[in-house]
Amino acid sequence: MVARAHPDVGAGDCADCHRATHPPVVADYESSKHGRGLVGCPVCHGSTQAGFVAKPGPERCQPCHAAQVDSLKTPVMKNKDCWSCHVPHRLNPHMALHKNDPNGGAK
Amino acid sequence: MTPLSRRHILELPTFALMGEAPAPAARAFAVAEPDRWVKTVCRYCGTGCGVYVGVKGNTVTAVKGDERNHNAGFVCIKGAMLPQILTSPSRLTHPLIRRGGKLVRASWEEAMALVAARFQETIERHGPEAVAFYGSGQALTEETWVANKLMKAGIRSNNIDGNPRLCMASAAGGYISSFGKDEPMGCYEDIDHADVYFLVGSNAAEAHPILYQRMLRRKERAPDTKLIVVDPRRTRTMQYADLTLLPKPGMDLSIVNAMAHVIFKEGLADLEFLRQHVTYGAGAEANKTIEDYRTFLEAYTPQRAAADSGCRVEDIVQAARWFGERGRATMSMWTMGVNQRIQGVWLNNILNNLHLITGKIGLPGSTPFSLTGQPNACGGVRDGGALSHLLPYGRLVANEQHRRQMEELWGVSAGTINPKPGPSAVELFQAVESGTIKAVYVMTTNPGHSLPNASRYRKAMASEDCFLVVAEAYHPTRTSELADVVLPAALWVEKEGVYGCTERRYQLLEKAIQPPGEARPDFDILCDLARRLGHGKLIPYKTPAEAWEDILKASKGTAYDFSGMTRERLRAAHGLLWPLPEGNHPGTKRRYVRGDDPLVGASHAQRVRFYGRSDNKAVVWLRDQKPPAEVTDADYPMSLTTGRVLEHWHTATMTGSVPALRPLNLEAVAELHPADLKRLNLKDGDRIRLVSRRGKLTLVARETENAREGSVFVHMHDPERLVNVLTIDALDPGSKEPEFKIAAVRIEKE
Repeated sequence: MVARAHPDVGAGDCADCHRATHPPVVADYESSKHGRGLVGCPVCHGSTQAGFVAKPGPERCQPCHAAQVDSLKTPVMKNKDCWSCHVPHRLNPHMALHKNDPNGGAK
Repeated sequence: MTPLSRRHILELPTFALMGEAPAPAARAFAVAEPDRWVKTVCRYCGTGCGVYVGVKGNTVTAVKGDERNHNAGFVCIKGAMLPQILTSPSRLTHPLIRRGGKLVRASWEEAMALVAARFQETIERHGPEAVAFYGSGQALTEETWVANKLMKAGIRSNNIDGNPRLCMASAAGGYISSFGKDEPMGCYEDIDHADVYFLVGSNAAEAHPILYQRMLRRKERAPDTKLIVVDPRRTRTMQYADLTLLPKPGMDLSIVNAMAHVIFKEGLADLEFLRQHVTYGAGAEANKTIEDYRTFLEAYTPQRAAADSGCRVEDIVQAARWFGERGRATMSMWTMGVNQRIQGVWLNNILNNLHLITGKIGLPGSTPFSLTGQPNACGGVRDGGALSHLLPYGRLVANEQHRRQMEELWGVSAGTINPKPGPSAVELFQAVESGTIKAVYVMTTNPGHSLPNASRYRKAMASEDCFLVVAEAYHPTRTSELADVVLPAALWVEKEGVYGCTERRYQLLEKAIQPPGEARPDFDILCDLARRLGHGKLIPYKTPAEAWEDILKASKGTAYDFSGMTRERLRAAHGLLWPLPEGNHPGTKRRYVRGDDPLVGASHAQRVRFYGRSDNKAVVWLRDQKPPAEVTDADYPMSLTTGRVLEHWHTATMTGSVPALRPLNLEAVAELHPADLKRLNLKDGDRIRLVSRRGKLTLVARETENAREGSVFVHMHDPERLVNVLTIDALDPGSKEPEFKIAAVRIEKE
């Protein structure tokens, strides 16, 4: 959680500053499907203000990946969450689980 | 993306990326299950994504994309945060009446009695043409139906128009003049089949993200799929483009005509298709021949187009070759960059031309496809005929037979509907300015922010001579602040009704929760107003479902026929595409196509029948490039263009109230090319004043290579910095849509 106040982004977007402060994060994000599809930072991390979430939980994934989030309730997924397999920001689909799926398990 | 094996993924320093300790191995599954999920449609753009809202008690706590709808379960950044639009502190929860210059709390009875009395008095003293209704492509179809019926059959005034006039009127005008009937013939599924995307005046990556993602998925599966983007500034849509053209603002008709020139020259035209399905026209008459058209195109060499537009000859030729290559499917898409122009209808016509001359139409992946801005501009206002010159489902005010049909359907005597079309949106507010219109009811829209030359019409709306009623979910907006009465409206899933999006897809939005405070659905407010104005017999509806029964009847037998789309079917389906003339018909993916569209006839001899016109032909129009309404000169040397950003939508009454979006990119800045900044002796971050012939606006200058030299871009969302005080209210002569996209300005240092 952030303790200090984050300024409003105003014109532009998060990457304008975080490209300098968190270069690998921005690079990973921009090369991911989220980056390509402009699924912007607030979708997972919320507001720059009180609503900021440093480590988003599955409820942040649910709007677009509801079935996958539901699968967390199955016994095989016990004690796992999305980040157990998917790298934050890079968000690779896990190919090994979906060998026969040309999209690698991603929609 | 490089695929990684599971082993690789497990070896990656997953949680080290942020420089933090690894997360604990076990984290509780944190998604709180709502009490129930209710199927609905996203409240924002014209893509019309299917979503479910999760409801706990009387609160929407979650949203998820509908996997069985066209969006395949995805939502965009705005859609992911939809629940927050409902709970904003800026929701209006009780009526307001202006007393002593201030808007103060009032009861519904006081507010409605005042609105009815003022409308009644104005009609009695000045006639039905002294009152007006200004509607919205965001209102539900049933709401728009009631307003249209009340105005045209009850009050007997055609002074009803709406914000689709600012948005889609040129696309509608293009389809009607090219094919005889409004609305695209293609569908979203064409994106999955196209080999070439030709995007003109569309920043789909930001304005229609879900459709853009669908294009990228196609490109990923079929890497030879080409994306061509034509836009006067470099947009995020161009990031994955194979070819980009950045024309001078307003000079893209030359490019499209030159592409037709190349297509004929290089033998890519489908002459047999042209012979069977096409006629030719200039002006308003379809009285030309293919020889006339080819002679017309002679002047539009790629060299001339390059000189007009500032683009490269080889890029124009490449675009034409990719578009026309035989055996490949081409899908054109466009939005406001094409429509919000004084040549909007003409540019729509010639985009349709490209598909007609190549025969790339009515085939999977081949279609001229206009993208819509609002969720129900198509379904409610365009199809529902709630513009001043229209009647429902393709009928026209000026057509006597059409008036008789609607009078019969509406149960009023012959001759009730005024045969003279009313004013278009901008003309309507000009009539407010001149005092001809003395009372206006504005529903679900924000003209005080969104009209061009906004200061002029804001003054007219604020005038004591205009009684302004605003029915709106939020307050204050840049319109409600000018109102005499503000009525609190229910929003989105707080009510029930039908939305119709870009691809002729109609969907039912189910009611999920009660509206806050005293807010009421617009449908109820309008029915209440009708009763108070003495039209209770004409508007007898208790529920939107009752109005839907009448709407189905009005569509029956028209080219829009969706009379099989019962409430029950809509409730069960995840969107239905018309024509759908019977209860068991699956709907029509591709209109005018034999075997798909039931109105073509299964035994028709050819693969398509353009039945919108009585000769069953589409029209290729000869349309010349003309300059914009306002060209740059020594006093106003820069070209202003406006547009949208990913995080916000229209006048930001909704996105500006979402905590996670409000801090992002809502501030309008002046995007300028580094060379212009240097020439003006300015730097990034300087405060500057943009000055047009209509107004001034102080903004921060933002240096960006994305700007076109000589142009300045400002987004239209910021309610505190209204770019529309600068834009021009010049209208396309056919569609009456304003030229928001081009104005001449100069830059002064603050």
